[in-house]
Amino acid sequence: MKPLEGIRVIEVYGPDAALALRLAGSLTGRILADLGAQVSFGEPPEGDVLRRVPPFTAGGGSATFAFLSAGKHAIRLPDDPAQLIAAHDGAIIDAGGFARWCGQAALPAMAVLSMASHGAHASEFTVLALSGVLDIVGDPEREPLRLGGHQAAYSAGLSAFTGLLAALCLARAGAGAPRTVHVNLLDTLLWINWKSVIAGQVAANSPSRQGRAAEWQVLGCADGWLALVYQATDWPALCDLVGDPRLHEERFATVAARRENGRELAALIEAGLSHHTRDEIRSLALARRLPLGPVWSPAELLQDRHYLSRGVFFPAIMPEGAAGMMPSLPVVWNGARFAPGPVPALATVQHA
Amino acid sequence: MRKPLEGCRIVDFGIITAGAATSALLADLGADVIKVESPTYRDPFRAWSSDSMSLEGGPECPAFFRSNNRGKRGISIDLKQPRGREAALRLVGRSHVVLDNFSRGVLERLGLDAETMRRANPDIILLSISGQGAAGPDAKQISYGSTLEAVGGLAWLTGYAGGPPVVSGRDLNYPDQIVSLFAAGVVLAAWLQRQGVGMGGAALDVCQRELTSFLVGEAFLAAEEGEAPARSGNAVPEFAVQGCYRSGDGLWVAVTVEEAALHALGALLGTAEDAALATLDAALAAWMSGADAATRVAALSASGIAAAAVRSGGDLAAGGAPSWDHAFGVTPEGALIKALPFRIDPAPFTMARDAPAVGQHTAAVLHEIAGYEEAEILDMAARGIIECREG
Repeated sequence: MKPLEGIRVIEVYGPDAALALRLAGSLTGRILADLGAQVSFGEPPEGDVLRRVPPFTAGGGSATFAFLSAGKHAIRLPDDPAQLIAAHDGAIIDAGGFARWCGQAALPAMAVLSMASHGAHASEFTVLALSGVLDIVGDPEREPLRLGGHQAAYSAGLSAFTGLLAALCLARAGAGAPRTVHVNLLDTLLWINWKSVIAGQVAANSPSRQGRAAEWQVLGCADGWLALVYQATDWPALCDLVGDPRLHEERFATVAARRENGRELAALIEAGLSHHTRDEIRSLALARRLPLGPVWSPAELLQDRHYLSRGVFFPAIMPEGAAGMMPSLPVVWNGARFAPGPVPALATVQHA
Repeated sequence: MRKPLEGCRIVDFGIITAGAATSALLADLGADVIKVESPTYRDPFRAWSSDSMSLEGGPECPAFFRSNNRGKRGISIDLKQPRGREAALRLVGRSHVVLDNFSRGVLERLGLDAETMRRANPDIILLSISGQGAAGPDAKQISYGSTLEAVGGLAWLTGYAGGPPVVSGRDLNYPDQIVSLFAAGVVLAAWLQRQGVGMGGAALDVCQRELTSFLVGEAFLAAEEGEAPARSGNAVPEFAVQGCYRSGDGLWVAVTVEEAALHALGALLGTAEDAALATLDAALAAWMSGADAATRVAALSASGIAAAAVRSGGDLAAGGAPSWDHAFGVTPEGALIKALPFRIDPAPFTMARDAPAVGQHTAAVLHEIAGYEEAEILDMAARGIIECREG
């Protein structure tokens, strides 16, 4: 039996909901559906906006929609969905939809999504800027750089997942009227970027992007790239692996000295590892207990032996048939994985 | 107000951020979290700080450690000694959840494998957080956050157009932050199921590498085409224009322009009706440099275009108008502390309990929960099996 079996959740978005909020709420719903909840979302006659969001699968459908909607039910909403929302155990909604429809009726446990607790029109990208996350990534000589994909929306989706489950636990414990959980992208990103903010309060120089001088960064190797990642305790093993006697010079002798001379250090390590392939780096890192990471593309990861042995990938079952593989929920529960359900066809039936 | 995890006791072997921040979040949600350290092993985070920070808050509780461990009680037991291990198992017997993020094999070597813990408590929820998962050919691979960005596919998708992959690096260490947002929810799901059907007993293997991949899940479906989406800097296909532009006062301003707002942008910049995107991009860059960031952000916002100056950690801490609603709280002495990723109670976050010193609650926890008499506790302390601190 799946942990959330018997729990009914609905996703509803107001007509003006930002794309980021739909992405966030849809990820929350996808996780709940995998865990066994019955998750429905409202879909207009012309199709959910996510059906048009890139990237696309070989068959031409939206990979984003397929990934986020697997296992859910697409339904046609009535003009005023308040009663329908109230008939569920939990709901995911944007703040605009909440203000529009959830004024009076008794409500279930709700996760209400917004871009920020206050402020003007925003996108995932501008919220990354406000949170300081943008400032951390990239080269100091160039513009700040966003993380790939939809990290601002999806991390808020994770936040809403935990928040909504907390509200559902309260409801099941019979702790009074169901609670509303407020989730916004900016607070979630600030929570994620907490070290910068706290360091910013107590230190003269808060962290900022360091590019080629960073302690942890991506270096080139024989057939691609690897992430150089290490702690002070890994330094002797790293020197041994790279095998360049210059690493033992005074300028790299302490953590502070290595930070001071980060560019030279990165160049030496890159030169020392450049003849290795990523597969060799993987084996060497494993044997020497070093946290180096070969950079794999999603296409390569679909063939990754570790992922294959863990059964990470499942096919996306589209209405017209299987269309590629996608990662399942990142938890093994009593030895088993949660297989994602089929991707819903366009909603055609008005909800009864 | 009642909290969601009231009545839930957690034996917490979580360290650094991935584990310790997960149990801190569960403590905020009402769980009784008991942080377990040892006379011979401390949470390494007690000794960590950022590059330029001293160990604020004293040598045992620097600011970073405090944020990930407030709300918990702390005990110190030597699990390598039989009586220490016995005490830990007694605690497991009287708890509901055991959480760890040690390297795979550490708990097993200490004689605290899943089977032994289940014998001590058949209903125990075991949450194991690890970089690569509990099993598989790379399970023993040592990983920190940015390692997982590389091996999970996120680094491949992050970078300047035409440039190499990029990781978030040591100061952000993104995968170590997001895992708590997921793993705490996984514990709540197991707790909810237990409330519903009255059975506990779950073994939960949360893999940080897989979470990193999950958060770029659509890229795997698109990858079947034969080519993964290329790195595109800050541009995204969903929006007509997106990038950072340097203002007259030297700040970077992030701007996102939807297709529908192109007309408004053109009006602001004075470009031709049918200007190409590259022309708009160049005009926007020139326009941005003509005034300070605040002026330009205000003008873009007034035109319905999303824009914000890029802020650093220092900018955020310095404040002005508060940027957050619930992400940070303030300690009694005025220091910022990480608070909550979401808000469930109307009341502002308060730190119910400061992070514990090593062994601060050993005596109280062993007496009240594990049922040890004072004489036994004193004897174990004298033999170095446990550490007790006046608290």
